[in-house]
Amino acid sequence: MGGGETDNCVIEVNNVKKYYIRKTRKTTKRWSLINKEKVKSVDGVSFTMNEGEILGVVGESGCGKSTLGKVLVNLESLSEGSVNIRGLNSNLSLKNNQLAFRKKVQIIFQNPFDTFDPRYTIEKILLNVMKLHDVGSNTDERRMKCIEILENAGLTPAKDILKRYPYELSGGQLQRISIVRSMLLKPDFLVADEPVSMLDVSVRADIMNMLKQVCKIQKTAMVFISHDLAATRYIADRIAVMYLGRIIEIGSTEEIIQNPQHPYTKALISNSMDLDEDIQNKSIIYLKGEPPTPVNAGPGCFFEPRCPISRASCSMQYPDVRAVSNHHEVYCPYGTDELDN
Amino acid sequence: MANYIQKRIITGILIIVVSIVLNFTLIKLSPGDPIRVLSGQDSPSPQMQAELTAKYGLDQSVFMQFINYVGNLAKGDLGVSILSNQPVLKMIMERIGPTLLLALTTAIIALIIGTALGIYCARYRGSRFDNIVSGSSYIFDSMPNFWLGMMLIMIFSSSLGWLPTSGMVDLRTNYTGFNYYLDVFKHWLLPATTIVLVTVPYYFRIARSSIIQVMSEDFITTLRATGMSESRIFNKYVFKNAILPTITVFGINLAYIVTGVAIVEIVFSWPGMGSFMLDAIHRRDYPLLMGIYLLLSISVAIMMIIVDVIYAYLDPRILYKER
Ligand SMILES: Nc1ncnc2c1ncn2[C@@H]1O[C@H](COP(=O)(O)OP(=O)(O)OP(=O)(O)O)[C@@H](O)[C@H]1O
Ligand SMILES: [Mg+2]
Repeated sequence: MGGGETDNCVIEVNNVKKYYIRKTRKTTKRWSLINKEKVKSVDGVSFTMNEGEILGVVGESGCGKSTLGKVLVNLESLSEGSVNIRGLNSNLSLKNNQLAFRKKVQIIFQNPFDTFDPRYTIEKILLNVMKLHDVGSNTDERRMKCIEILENAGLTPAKDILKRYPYELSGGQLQRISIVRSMLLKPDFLVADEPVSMLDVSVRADIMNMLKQVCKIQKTAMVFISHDLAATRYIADRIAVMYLGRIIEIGSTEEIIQNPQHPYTKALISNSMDLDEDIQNKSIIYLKGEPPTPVNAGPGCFFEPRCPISRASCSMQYPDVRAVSNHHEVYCPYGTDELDN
Repeated sequence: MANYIQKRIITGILIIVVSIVLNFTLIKLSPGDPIRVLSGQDSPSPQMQAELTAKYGLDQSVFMQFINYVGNLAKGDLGVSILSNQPVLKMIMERIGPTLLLALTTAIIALIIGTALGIYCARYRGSRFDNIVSGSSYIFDSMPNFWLGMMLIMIFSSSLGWLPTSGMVDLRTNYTGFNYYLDVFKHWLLPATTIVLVTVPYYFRIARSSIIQVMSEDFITTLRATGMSESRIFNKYVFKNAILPTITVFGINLAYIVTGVAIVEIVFSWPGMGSFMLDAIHRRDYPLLMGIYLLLSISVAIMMIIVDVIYAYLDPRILYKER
């Protein structure tokens, strides 16, 4: 799994948890009581990543992908566990020098139309970031650099784009600018939270290519969050599948797609129309019920209530990790051969 | 921008023109025989009737009356009050000072207090302070201003005897200099408190909700992710985006400044436009009413232009949509 001990290691995530307290109303015959319940959005996630590596994180809506992304870049504090970036604890780095930490760790959001303050031109937005982080020594130099990087990102004519306001640009253009803005800081680690899901299908591939290319060139480790398996397969070196706040299977992209070991992974793949037909299961695996909210899962396997091949033992205790190969781990002791019949 | 301002000004002028026509028509259509009112008698003598009719042009066609009216307006002549026989403009000018004093000061104080409370409560949302202020805002918002005014009079004037009940100065004394201002301040305190208490909730709720809304916007999270400090994010981004609705409400408040505090003025016998306007309505003093309404429509039109321009300056999207 990754290379935790080598110098290449960019990020080390150790048993990270994020719990929210949610107030709900419980109505009995006479009283309406306010109940506090713990939402375990992220419930013990660990992995490591190397320079330039792209890890796809997939899972149903509400499984905690965005929360994980925000915790990794420290926009949300974590409830338990730790994140080390280049060997340094994130919480400490943020406390010591928040600017330096923020420069190394970047995030790109889903909705490019909401990413920028509507009152500023693109030029102002980019210059502000550069100034904040001392990129370039004066405004002229910074402006030259803006033009250069916009042109490299295919945003031409750059001089014209710089003068525009966010609402005068398309979603694809704005998402490119988001990427440009993050990457000009040369971060070690980047989270992209569903960066193409709001965009036209026609520009998705271009944006993903751009992301992939810039991460490889700048040796930035990227967590690519998506619920689109085909897109994730295209961009990611490894894939982590999440269910109710936990990673239930992680491995190199082709292993996960070709040889899924968790029934949930298998179900996701069988439901993904965009994947090649030879990989897709002949019959789609339908899951029972809705994806539950992560309040009181367990004590057994979280997926057990919806699992098509669950056994009595599955509800007893959470399954241990099973190594399928060097680069492939799964939290299900049984495998998915049964589902093929 | 110049184009945009030009458009606003043209719209403003149109509003004033339309309101001149409307005011004139409405007043002509309203019931009551002005001659009877003018003479102060139920059945004035024919000679008196003729005199008054000629003097005020009431014998001419309505259209001619309108033409005369507009022509006089252009000369700055708003006509002569039927009741006091004085030029309307002069009468308004005498009365508008106290109204502006009361309405402007309270508008600014309410704006500052309400917005400051709103900002504070938005930042510490859910705190005990926030709960108390938010709760009280609903209480004061639902209080009629005349009722609150009378309560304050009962408590602070009648019972405690700390403050005067009515007027703007004590007519029995002849204060000068500092003592005069102190006297005006004492008279001002209760009506001002009344107005501020019922206006603060508007500013409070608008500031609080728009700041909470802007703080949850994605672009604020993005700024945080770039490493900008919280205080800078707040001052430079949250505040400037969240202040737009407050500007609108303040603009509307100022637009109706001439008549906005009329009821409170009447409760406290403040010598401003309020009681004056009430009299004009009661006694069907047409020229005076037309003068007041004209002033009102001009101030509405001007404030509308100013608010629109400030808005466009603060939020460039508006100019964009305009194109
Ligand atoms: N601020 C919060 N307070 C309370 N609960 C939250 C908060 N943020 C997220 N949650 C809960 O945590 C769970 C995971 O949410 P999250 O947004 O991480 O899911 P996601 O995998 O990104 O879903 P999607 O695919 O819809 O974006 C959800 O049940 C959500 O309701
Ligand atoms: Mg999400």
